[in-house]
Amino acid sequence: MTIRILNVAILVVALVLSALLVRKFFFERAQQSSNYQLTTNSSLRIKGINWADSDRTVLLALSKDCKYCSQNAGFYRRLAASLVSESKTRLIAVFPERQQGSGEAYLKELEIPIREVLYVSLPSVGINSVPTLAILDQNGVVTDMWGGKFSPLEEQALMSKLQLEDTRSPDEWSIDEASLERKVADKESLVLLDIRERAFYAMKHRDGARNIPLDELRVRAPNELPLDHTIVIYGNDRSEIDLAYSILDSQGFANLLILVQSPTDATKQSP
Amino acid sequence: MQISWGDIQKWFTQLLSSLLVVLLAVVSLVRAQEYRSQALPADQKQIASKAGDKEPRPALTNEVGSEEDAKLAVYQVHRLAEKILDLRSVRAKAVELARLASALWKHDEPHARSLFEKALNMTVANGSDREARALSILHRRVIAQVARSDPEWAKRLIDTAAKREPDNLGSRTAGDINITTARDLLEEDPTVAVQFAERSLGVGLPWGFLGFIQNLRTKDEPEANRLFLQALNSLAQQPAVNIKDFHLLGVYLFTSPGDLPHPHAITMTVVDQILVPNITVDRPGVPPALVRAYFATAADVLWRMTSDAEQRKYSYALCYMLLPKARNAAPDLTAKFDAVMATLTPYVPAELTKDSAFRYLNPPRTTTEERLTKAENKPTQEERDMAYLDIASQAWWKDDFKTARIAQARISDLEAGQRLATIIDFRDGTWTIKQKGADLSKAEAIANRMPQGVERSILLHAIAKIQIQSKGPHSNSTEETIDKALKAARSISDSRRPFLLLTSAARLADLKSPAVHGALAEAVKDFNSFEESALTRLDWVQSIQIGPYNVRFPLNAPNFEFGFHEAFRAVALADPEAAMARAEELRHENLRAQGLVEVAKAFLEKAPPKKSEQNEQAIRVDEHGMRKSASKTVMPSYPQDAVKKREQGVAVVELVYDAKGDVVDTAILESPSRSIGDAVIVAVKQWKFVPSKKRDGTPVSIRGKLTFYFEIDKDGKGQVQNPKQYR
Repeated sequence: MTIRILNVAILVVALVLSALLVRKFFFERAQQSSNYQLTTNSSLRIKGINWADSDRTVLLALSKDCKYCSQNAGFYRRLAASLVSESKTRLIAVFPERQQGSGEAYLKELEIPIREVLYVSLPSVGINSVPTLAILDQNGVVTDMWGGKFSPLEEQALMSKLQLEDTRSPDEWSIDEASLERKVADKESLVLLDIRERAFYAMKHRDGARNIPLDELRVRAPNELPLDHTIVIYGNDRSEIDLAYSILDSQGFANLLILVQSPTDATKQSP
Repeated sequence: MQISWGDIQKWFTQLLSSLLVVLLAVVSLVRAQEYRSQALPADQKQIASKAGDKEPRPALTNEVGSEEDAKLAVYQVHRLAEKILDLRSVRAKAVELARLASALWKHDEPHARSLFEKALNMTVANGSDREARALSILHRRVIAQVARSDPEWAKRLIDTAAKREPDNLGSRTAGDINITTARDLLEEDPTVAVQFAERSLGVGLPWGFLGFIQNLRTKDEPEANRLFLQALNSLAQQPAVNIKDFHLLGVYLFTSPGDLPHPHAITMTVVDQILVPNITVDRPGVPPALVRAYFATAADVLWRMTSDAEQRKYSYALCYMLLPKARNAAPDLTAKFDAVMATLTPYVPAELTKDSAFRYLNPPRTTTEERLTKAENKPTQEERDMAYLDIASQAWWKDDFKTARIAQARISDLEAGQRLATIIDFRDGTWTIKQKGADLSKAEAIANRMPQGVERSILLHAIAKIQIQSKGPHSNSTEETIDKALKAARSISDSRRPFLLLTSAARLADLKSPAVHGALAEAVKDFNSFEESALTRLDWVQSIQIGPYNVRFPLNAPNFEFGFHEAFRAVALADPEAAMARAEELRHENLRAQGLVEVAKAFLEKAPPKKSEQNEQAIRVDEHGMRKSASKTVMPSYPQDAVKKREQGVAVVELVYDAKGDVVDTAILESPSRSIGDAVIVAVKQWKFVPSKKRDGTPVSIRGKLTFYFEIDKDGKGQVQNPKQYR
């Protein structure tokens, strides 16, 4: 009897140790492989999708509990609507496996007309954050990729990449010099925001412009800019203006406009 | 054979036991390996794996002994400071005490501070006589040393020094001291140097500013570009812009046609009867935004129209140079430049308005043959020799030794020709050792064929230094090279001789040769044989004169310092006590004090460094990161005068904290007033931060910004607030 109990004890200990070893050598390696990150020029394989079925594919990785996915809904709606009449480009939405069956309802609720919906383990295919939008060619190679909240300039860039006409009027997010002058003359509540470095601002800036350098914007904007005013952003660099737009957008500034500058606008600046 | 149930149980038990033993062994091996890889530093991992599985023993340290050595070194430096204080010459005392204090700062800050104070007090000047001016120059030099240790103190000292000057000179003095300090600090601490350069802008462009930003560009181009814009802005805001300064600033963006001896060289070209920087060619890699900014400001500045006749000429010349460039870089401004030129035309000499006045800006290029033929056709021998000397000197600068030698061979003045041949050989030799994988034997062969003299000595010293660097301090051939350099130095008759003898001693010290003592004694004796005035006005240039034409050839060699300091320190590092005794034998107080400071530096250099000394670059973090890692915060107080004047708004400060979490550097970026800025500095200097480390555990300095709001409420009370997010 004692020998039997001893045998069982030895067996249990042996099994526990084996399980620990298996965990160490196999499970951790499997975890490491999930660090894989999808990037441009890498290829993507998803069960159930044959990339060769269309000239190119727009893949939208979403999740129903992601804030930016809902905030991008307006743009996704326009994108999907533009692609309805475009036969060469296929639009697919992918949701995490655990949300099986609820993706269609989520898209319906946001009125985004995407018919093809799949559920996959997103990290296993290298998509580690949502929303992610990827354009893939016929071989499943990613040619372009965007992540997070779309700014107006990014929306514009994506639409022109896909050679689609954006139904959103540029007037909704940008303003030209003449319109700005009109708004100023009409004494509309607006702040002209210069996001360049202090030295550039000190050199020359537009009449009435207020300078908050881009790297200080996140801290200073909620303290210094009125939420109910229209904020007109200008700077030297498109990507910086884009980032400033995203920061202010995420802080709840609803009326944001990007100043479209003509090459000779500098002459209109004052010291 | 019959197998009973009991046998099966027995085998099964044995099998399981063996399995358990194997598993236990494997698990313990895996755990041990994990433990070892975590516990060992990276550099020991390899050693441990090579030496089998023995645990390496930790390196033995002798911290108590090190601490004693450090204390002894500091004590020696205190003694040396006393010796310097006993000197009679104020110049020697003030400047050298400040240098010594700067070296001592890291080791004994309170004593260093008191030495700085002594040096500052003995150079405070009142009045404007010759003596006061000399003292004022010394005071600036002391401040420049203070800036290396405590930049904020130096800034306050500069402001105080400026206040002592008459009103019209105060800002210019401050500008000059600031830029001198900035230039002094550039190699050692570019970040602090930039702060001083920024402060130098106020009244015009201080002398040396352009050189500073050009040098800074090689280290930190965005920062240099930012300073350029700031200078542009500062100039544009002057009530009367000095067009010469503005024109000179253009050299940062543009250069002249043809080969220049140095990338920072400025070509001054004669235009009619004035001399202007030639800025007709674009510098490669300059951001278009800077060019655009320069043009826009130029258009504004030139448009203002000065009534000064001289300035009008310079304005016209600048406009002439900028106009063709503006057509590409800023077409919208060309009309304005055209208008400026048209308006200036009646007010400048008629000759200046002709294209021919600008003919030297881009002279037609001629071949060497054409130039040699032209020289041959000169009517007199002297004119021919002058032309050949000109061709040779230009080829010399371009390292075209073949052409230089052809022209040199045609010079009929034998003495001038021979001296030129030596100078060409010198340049050829230094050029050879400058090349990658330098052929030292070729350079040595060139040196061997040169006559005894200063060029040969310098070239041999430079070769010896490279030999020491490449072979280490044990080589007979290097000692032979130094010996030849020493002999060449002995043949010199002017006061450059003792400096070259001291350089020989320094190289022998590098070699750890016992001959260093003899060489040092000879150098000291030689220094004492010259009058002090001869030793302070040294010219490391060889000049050749033919008729009225004089050409100067600088004797620069890679790795060769002409300074007393570097050479004496090398000797002192080999044997500080012996060097101290020799320094005290120096007859001239200035040299004696300099020698003693180098001995002090050697004592400190040989002492073990303090643990807190970290040589790291600050990493930039955002305000959220700064505030999150703050362990002690102090809110700025609202200055009473600012409340009275109702000064309110946002203040932004940039600061750096070191690996210990102490604030080591601050700069106000934006503030409603100066007093508010000062209050912010006072407060943030008291902040403490949690020390930060890199992933590999290396301590690191952090740079970031903090924002404060200064607001006056309805009752007139001043309130200082953090941004909403951090209240």
